[in-house]
Amino acid sequence: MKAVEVLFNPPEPLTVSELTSRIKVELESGFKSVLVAGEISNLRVVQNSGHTYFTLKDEKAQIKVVLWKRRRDYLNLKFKPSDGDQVIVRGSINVYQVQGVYQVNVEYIEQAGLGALLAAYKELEKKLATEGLFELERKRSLPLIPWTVGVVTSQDGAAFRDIRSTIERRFPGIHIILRSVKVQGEGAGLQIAEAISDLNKHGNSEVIIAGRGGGSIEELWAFNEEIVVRAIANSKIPIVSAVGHETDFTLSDQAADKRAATPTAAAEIIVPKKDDIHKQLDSHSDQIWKRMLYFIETKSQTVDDISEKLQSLIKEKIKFRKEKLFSTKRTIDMQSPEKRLSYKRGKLDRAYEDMSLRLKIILNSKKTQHMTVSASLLTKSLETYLNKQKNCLNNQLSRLKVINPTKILERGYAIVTSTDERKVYKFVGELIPGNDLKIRLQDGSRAVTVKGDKIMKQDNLFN
Amino acid sequence: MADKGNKNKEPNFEISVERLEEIIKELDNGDLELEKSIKLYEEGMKLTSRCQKMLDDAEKKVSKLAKGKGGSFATESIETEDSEAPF
Repeated sequence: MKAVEVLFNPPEPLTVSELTSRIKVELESGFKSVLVAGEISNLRVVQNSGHTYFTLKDEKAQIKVVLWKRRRDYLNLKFKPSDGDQVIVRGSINVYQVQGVYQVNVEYIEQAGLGALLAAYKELEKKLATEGLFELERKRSLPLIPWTVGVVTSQDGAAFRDIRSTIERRFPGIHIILRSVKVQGEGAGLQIAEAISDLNKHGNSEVIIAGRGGGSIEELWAFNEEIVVRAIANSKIPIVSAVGHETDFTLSDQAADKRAATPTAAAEIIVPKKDDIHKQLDSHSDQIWKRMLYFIETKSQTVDDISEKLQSLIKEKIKFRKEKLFSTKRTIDMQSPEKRLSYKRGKLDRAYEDMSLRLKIILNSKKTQHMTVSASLLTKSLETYLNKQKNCLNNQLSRLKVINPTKILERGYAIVTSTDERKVYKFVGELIPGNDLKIRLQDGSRAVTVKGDKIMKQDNLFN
Repeated sequence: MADKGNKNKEPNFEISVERLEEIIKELDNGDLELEKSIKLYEEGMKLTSRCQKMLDDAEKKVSKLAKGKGGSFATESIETEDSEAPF
């Protein structure tokens, strides 16, 4: 009845806004401070505002939750709320009229012990560790240059793009074989495990990168699945894991031969820079060349040393031989007929010289004897000779005295000469009138002049 | 595209580089015979040039491994255009 009354005699209806307002007042005053526990899901952080929205749920119900940026900054949380986290939230109910929704406005949030996921993780980690899957001895070294790299990730993910560009930048020419898989959600783990096994069967890859880009714990969860961890451990080809960011650690990381913080880092770990390898090779060949050069230098020096030693040795030997030969030759020469002859001859010569010397001495002594004798003889004969000559000279002188022309002058003769007495005139014809002459008489001479040209010839008195 | 034989395995690059390091060490030994050292030198030079060639001959290639029927594999080239991925 009452309901009918309401229908037929209705009061003024409320507007949606009025109703929502009433609900808002009722709810917000009724749940000023609530404490609620549940599991986070559908968590998202809106980029522009920085507000965090998520749903708290249990088996039967869910409620929207908002964590304003300012509150979050103020709380300075020790953990990063993520999907699957079991949390306890304290806050108030807030009605968002625009959308007609009510939500918990977080004043405080904390982890409600380890989530189920984390518990499972811990359990699996313990189990696999006991089996030895994470042992360091199992880890293999990576090839210097993997000419073919297998990649297990999603073809459309940022991870593949990063891996590919990094490899191509560092070492153009590396063959990348992608085995594209789902990296999150239902069935991802199985696909990843299969892909690893397929790349092993295919066999071309020298190293495998398994991974994906960053995400929530739930999104990365496939890499914590037992099947994936075992596939990594069983791989014959070395595996580098590259899941999420630096802060994310998965069981895959522990089983892998090498863990890379990010997909880009994985590519950097696996592939060297081509230039570096070229440089290394250059330095190797350079070193080989230098060593060879050094080797040759030392060897040639040794050869020089040896040859020098050899030469001096040979020279010495030759000198020694020569000397020996020379002395032998000399002895032989001494014995030769010529030498002997000349020796004898020399001896003979010396004997001869000796003898002639002696002879000379003897002769000289004889000669001087003889000479003294003959000298006395000679003196004697010379004296007689001289006396004889003296007598003869005296005779001559007396005769000369007789024929002295001055004697004739004494007898009255005259001698007519030229004034210089050089010419003696003997014939009248020689006298020329006017000539100056000299006339010598017995007591002296006097200058005269020829006078008159008449010649009076006179017959010889004695004829 | 069919899988090609593992041509890279033949003159394994790593082993070649290791051998190069060995050669350097051996050449450090002064007691070596000349002929032996010349042989080592020649081997070293051959190895380096072969390694350099290996580096330069490598062809850029990106392919996708697809599983065929009966467990056989095939690789197909991936287009080089860079599609921007969401993350």
